[in-house]
Amino acid sequence: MRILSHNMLMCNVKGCGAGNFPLRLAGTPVQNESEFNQEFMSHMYSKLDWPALKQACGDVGITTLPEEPPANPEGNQEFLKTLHDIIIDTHIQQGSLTCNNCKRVYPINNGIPNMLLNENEV
Amino acid sequence: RMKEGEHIPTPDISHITCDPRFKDQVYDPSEDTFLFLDALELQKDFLKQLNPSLCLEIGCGSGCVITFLASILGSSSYYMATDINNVAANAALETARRNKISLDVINTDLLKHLIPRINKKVDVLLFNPPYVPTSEEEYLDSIKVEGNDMLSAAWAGGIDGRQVLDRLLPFIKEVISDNGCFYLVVVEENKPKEIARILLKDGFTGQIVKKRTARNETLSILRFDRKKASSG
Repeated sequence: MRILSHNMLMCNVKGCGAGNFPLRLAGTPVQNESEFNQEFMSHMYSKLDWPALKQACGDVGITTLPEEPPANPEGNQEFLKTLHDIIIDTHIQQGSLTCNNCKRVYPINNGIPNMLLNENEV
Repeated sequence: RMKEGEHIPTPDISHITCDPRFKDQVYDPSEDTFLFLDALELQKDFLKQLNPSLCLEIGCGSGCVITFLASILGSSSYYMATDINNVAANAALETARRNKISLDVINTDLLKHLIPRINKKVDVLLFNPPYVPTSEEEYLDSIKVEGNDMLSAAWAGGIDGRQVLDRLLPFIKEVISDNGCFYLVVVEENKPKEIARILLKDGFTGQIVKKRTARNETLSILRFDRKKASSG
């Protein structure tokens, strides 16, 4: 599971309200290397929840994310490359996602988060 | 599959039937799958000019279709898939890996946990739902989290083969981006005209991309786009 996917996931347990996004992330980040595409990263930047990204980086020990995005982030190649390394090239293979609100734990195995809920949680 | 011109090869899916981890537990790509691939190949030019950033397949099974889409579009997009079957989710990752595609798979029911974060962000949504008409009971049994036969969850569609799709339809207008589109596999029993009417009310126009009759099933691949205000 790449860091960008973490940015898209929240807790959907019945009755779980405020605090169900973002999920706390646990696991050892594994670095990959893929082709950088500036136009794509520029589009992706606009879809990001920045505080959630910062929290995820803090949770798994990624220190390369700047505190705040630069002025004109979509045009800043260096920034977008750093962002690419984090959200596209960093994977969590084994770990978990935990809801800050209801504390429900969703395991991540082989890079796949198991978000299936039990009957009483739906 | 026979095509003229630049042909995109069918992804390597040999592990679906050969690897003991997946054999008999993941929907084996069939006529519906291959029709979906043929349809996407026909849509190649449209998809390339759309230049999507986020492509998502619901119920990816073997991962064959999302992998094929990624082969068309390349690394200019982010690929995600969901499946309620954990074995299928793992199989889809293997399909992506073998075909050198980067894919994130979430083991979840439809788009649970992704909505509302993905709202207005999905540029290409793909869904080959469980479309076979069955009794409601057979459908409900297939999605029980514990002690169920995961393979039947791949095809059991309940009444009119619509009970899974109908759970998703209200969210199409929420998740699809402004210029995005939704590809859907249906059979005649699913009442495609009714599906089109429902989505039209939500602001989507539909078209048939490809149709085929095989083994007593008349399959269609539909594409839905947000209605654009007429210009001029």
